[in-house]
Amino acid sequence: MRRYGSPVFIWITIVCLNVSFLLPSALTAKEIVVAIGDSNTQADTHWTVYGHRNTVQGGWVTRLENLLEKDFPDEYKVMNKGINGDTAQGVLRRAQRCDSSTT
Amino acid sequence: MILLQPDIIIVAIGTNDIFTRLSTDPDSTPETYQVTIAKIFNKLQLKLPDTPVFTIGMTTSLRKYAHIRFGNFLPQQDIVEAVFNDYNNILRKLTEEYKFSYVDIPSQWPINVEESWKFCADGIHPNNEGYDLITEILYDALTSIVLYPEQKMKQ
Repeated sequence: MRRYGSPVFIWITIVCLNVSFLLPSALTAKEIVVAIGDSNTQADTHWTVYGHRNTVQGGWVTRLENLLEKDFPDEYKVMNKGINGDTAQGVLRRAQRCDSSTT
Repeated sequence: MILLQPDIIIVAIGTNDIFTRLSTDPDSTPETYQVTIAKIFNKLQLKLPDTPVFTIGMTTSLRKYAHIRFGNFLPQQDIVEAVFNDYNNILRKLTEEYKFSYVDIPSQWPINVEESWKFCADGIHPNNEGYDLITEILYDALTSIVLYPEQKMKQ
């Protein structure tokens, strides 16, 4: 009976509990979808003229993530890499920055 | 984007290149857009050779409404449409050359200005209906090319 209260037993129990919490996320690594673009992708504001409005933060990216989650629960993570005002040159620079930081 | 090691990449870029072109910036031409997109595609193909890449065609901005929020910087609508068509054709052609997938939003977007306005928030950005339509077209493309085969395997 005493051994169940021993520090070693408690330590093992804590480690096992922690591992059991970690395992599901490790076993179900999500596929990553990266959306790269400009303000049409970032969609961080609710632009409007005469009441025509986008009310969903993230625009098509958020909607895509919602659809994927509905049809493929826990399988995909969609990352919004839209930047307001960005151009093709900006996207290239971002790609090159990533490149140089890996070498 | 490369560091993230994505499983799928979606590239939606070019509208601001078109705006700088329309603002008569001599450095912004269809040729520079083409060269830059090719460099981006080269990099993606080199660094992420097995990752499916989708590109999204751009919807034409509406001069009649864009000026309310952004000022009167756009030329006549027919000129705007022509430039958008040029840039979309460049994007489509390069996408096909690199064996990526072009998501043809423009062909399913209303051509008529007033019809198009129903999908637009401010003459440039989509509203709820516009984003719904873009997502529907994109999701169809994703489903048929990368999602459906996986779903089929699980059944």
